[in-house]
Amino acid sequence: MKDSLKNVKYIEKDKILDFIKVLQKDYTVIAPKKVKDFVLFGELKDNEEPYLDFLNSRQSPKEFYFPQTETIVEYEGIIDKRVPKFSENDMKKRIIFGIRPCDVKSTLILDKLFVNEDYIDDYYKRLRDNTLIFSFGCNNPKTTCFCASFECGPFSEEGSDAFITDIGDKFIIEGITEQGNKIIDKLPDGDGGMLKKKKEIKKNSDNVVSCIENIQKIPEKLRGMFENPVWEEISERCLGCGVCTYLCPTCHCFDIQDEMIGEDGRRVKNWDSCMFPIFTLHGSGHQPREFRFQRMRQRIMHKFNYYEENFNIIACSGCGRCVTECPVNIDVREILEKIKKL
Amino acid sequence: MEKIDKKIREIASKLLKEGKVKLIIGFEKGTLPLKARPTFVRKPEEVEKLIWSSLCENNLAVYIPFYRKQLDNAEKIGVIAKGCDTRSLILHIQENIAKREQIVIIGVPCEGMLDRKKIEREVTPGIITESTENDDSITVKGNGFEKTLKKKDFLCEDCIICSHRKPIVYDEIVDIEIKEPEGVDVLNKVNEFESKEPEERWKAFTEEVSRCIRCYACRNACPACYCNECFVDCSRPQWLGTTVDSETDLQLFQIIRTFHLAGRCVNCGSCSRACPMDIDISLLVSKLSTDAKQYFGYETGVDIEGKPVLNKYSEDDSNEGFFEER
Amino acid sequence: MIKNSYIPIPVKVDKIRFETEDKLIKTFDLVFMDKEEEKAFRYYPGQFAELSILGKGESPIGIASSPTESGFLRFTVMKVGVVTTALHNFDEGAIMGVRGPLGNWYPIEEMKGKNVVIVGGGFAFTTLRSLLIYMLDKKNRKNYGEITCIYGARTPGLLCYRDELKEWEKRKDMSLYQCIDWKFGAEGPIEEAAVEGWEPINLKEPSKTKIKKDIKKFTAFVPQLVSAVKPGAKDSYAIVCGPPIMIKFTIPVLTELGFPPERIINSLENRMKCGIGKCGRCNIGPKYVCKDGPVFSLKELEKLPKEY
Repeated sequence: MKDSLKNVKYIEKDKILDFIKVLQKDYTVIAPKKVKDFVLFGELKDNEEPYLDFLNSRQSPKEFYFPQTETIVEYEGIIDKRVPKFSENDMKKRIIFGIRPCDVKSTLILDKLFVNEDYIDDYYKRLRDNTLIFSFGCNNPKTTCFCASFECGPFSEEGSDAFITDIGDKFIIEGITEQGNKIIDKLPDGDGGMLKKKKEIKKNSDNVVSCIENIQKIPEKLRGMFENPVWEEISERCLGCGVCTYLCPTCHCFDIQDEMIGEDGRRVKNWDSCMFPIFTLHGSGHQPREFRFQRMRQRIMHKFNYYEENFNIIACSGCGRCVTECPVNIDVREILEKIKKL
Repeated sequence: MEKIDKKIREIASKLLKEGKVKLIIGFEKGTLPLKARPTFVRKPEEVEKLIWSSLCENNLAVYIPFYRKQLDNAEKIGVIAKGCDTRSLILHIQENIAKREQIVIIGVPCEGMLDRKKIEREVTPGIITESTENDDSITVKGNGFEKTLKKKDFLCEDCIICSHRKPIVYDEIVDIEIKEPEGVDVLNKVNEFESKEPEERWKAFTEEVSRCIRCYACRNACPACYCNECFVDCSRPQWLGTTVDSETDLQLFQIIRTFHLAGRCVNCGSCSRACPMDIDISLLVSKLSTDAKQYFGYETGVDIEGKPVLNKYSEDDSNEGFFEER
Repeated sequence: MIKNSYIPIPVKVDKIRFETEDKLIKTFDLVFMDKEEEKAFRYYPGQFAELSILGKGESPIGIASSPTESGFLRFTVMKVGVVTTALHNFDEGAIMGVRGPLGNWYPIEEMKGKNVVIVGGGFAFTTLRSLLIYMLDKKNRKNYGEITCIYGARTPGLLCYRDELKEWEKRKDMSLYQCIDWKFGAEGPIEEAAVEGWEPINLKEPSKTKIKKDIKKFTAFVPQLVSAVKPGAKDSYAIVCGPPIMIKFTIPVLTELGFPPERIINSLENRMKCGIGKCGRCNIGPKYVCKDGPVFSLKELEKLPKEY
């Protein structure tokens, strides 16, 4: 019992800024920040406190591995003499502080695509390799949270370097990896009472958070469903915007674009969305996904069948962002239940 | 509310049974508390899912351009429509998206829709799990709390300034008495912003649109944005950069979209509500609505016989909009 | 420097020529600026590369040269979009980029000891040229059985690689059948020769056409010519590349001739960006055309959704 406490530290809530300042000596700290009436992850400035009284951020923090706009190369000069300029500056290591377990899970899902034996996305890998994860247990899962469906949960530690729990007056921070432990080493040791409190909170959250039963059966079920008329029914209210895909922590489709200002230019990776018709439009005018239902089918199939077939994992972590922010309340949980019953 | 539900279902069932329409676009209960959502009814036995509440925020006219083919095949569509929905439908008819006789408008007078986010804010940190609506109030319940709120305090911003709550045109009407509010005007929304210094306005605008993630939910939720190819998607020529780290591109997207909506926006607020980053998009568009009214005495979609303001010319037209000293 | 999959390798445009009479298709020979890069660029027939013009973008194009031809990479490109238009405006000596080689290739190992029937249409003949040159190479020819090539375009002037076609016509170690179809269309098919030197075939029942020994040029659509030529399916592979409509009508002909789905090979196109299976747009079901394709057997395609 004593041994297991070695990695448990705590910090008084009013001392959090001191701890952040210590971290900022060696790391850029990315943490939840209040923007208008919601929360987004962003880099903490000097003396800026993280906003930890939140359920989850409006946008997922995937942009810190997979920025919405990211320069691939720069170039200059006249068009038929340009060569790519590419420089990799040293990068200060980063900590994402306060990221929720579902978003950590999503990162692990994205790793399989961006860094695999076929090809490596060097831009993603570099950001990922230079980032430590201090994840934050969810005391209050939202009604739209269904992370428990995906071998995840409000207190899942998978993928974290350290794990933070809010136990009322203080946070306990548990080291998970060697690096994580090293960073929190100087904090005061926690005790059994604190862990007991955490256990109670965890138990409550685990009870509250919803779970789609037998989600593992969905990929197989979808295999024979490409031609099913259900897609038209599911997609009829879809407006075709990119909210679901842009807020999703596992959506990863992107575009490559060139931009010139005068004779200076850059090539960038930009997020793109399978919900936009232009996504698949050929130069010839041919359009493999002409209708809304085909695009909706692609989104669901990609997450719950194709990705599973290619990487052995479903590309959803149950964060619920697409559910809460869809302007017309298209609810992926409902779609999955429907698919299960077909 | 139940009375309205019943009446809507009666009308819908009748229209479908008599073969007057092939499809009725209305609202059903959503999967989230405080959410109703668009629904599509094709069989009389499905009308039971149709509902009405103060959560029917979407402008259903947005779906009409998706059904142009069906309309051309003489398949009529019924639309449950509030004041703003009927105004957008009139715009569609004026712009030849649909013919008046192709659409059966089932009018429902509206007392303003509730802003879900405002209510959620009010009960934070509580998480709402259910809600029930009465005439003037809404009761929300959640983990250990229950609160009754006055509806008029939680209306959507654009509903507060709405002066056309009654359907402008209709074929069927749910006959309930509502009062058009007095003294409200789109101007009320714009005035405060407009009274600021230009630099201040520009700064506020830039800050607001800097959050844009280019999901185009504003565009897609807008009944007036139905171009086959939106200017942001054109590649030959490419009018606009595609990144989010260029301030100019984000500004231009909203500015050009706003100009495209001059004299075409009905101030339904769909754009602002759809925005996942809470950008008050309709503020900018509203300015052009006030200009249309101020300079040309024109309001979008209130006169089905009339022509859109940019489609007609009169010698009496004010030129001030062009040459005004600032 | 670490090899980064998104960064194009600089190349110089060495030679440019018009490929077709309508001047919409040009062939570009590109040479590497760096010998090491050239060595590292190991490719096989059927693969493609992203032609990269900084400031304009990238366009995925099949490699028309064969790995047996060293010193240059050849691409035959139609002027359609932003990138290809910019490329067509280039002069010899221009500097541009190439990213690749990308995708899989024709089953050159599996086909060893077998007959190969190449069926091509229009300017989609590019990677087929690569394959043909590869198989006809002195070192490789003995590895393959009979080689039959059936190639068609709208007019004689729209056939690509016309100088090489003339050489192949003369070769004894392969059979080349060509066809043109431009007089078809609005007025319906014609029964007589469209152009001198091009023989008519029985269009209603093409399989009943008797092909004379020394006549190898016909007025027909590609599928009809395949039907008339009747290449043997035994121990044979058919490699089909062309416009979707040609593929659609050719496959049933091949199937009727007895080619099993696993020996009918297609090359597909889809809108692509990254070329390395990340950006998510060129998928057909779980397969990415850029990474798992572009070459698929009919057997593989039968398992995939019809969404291309």
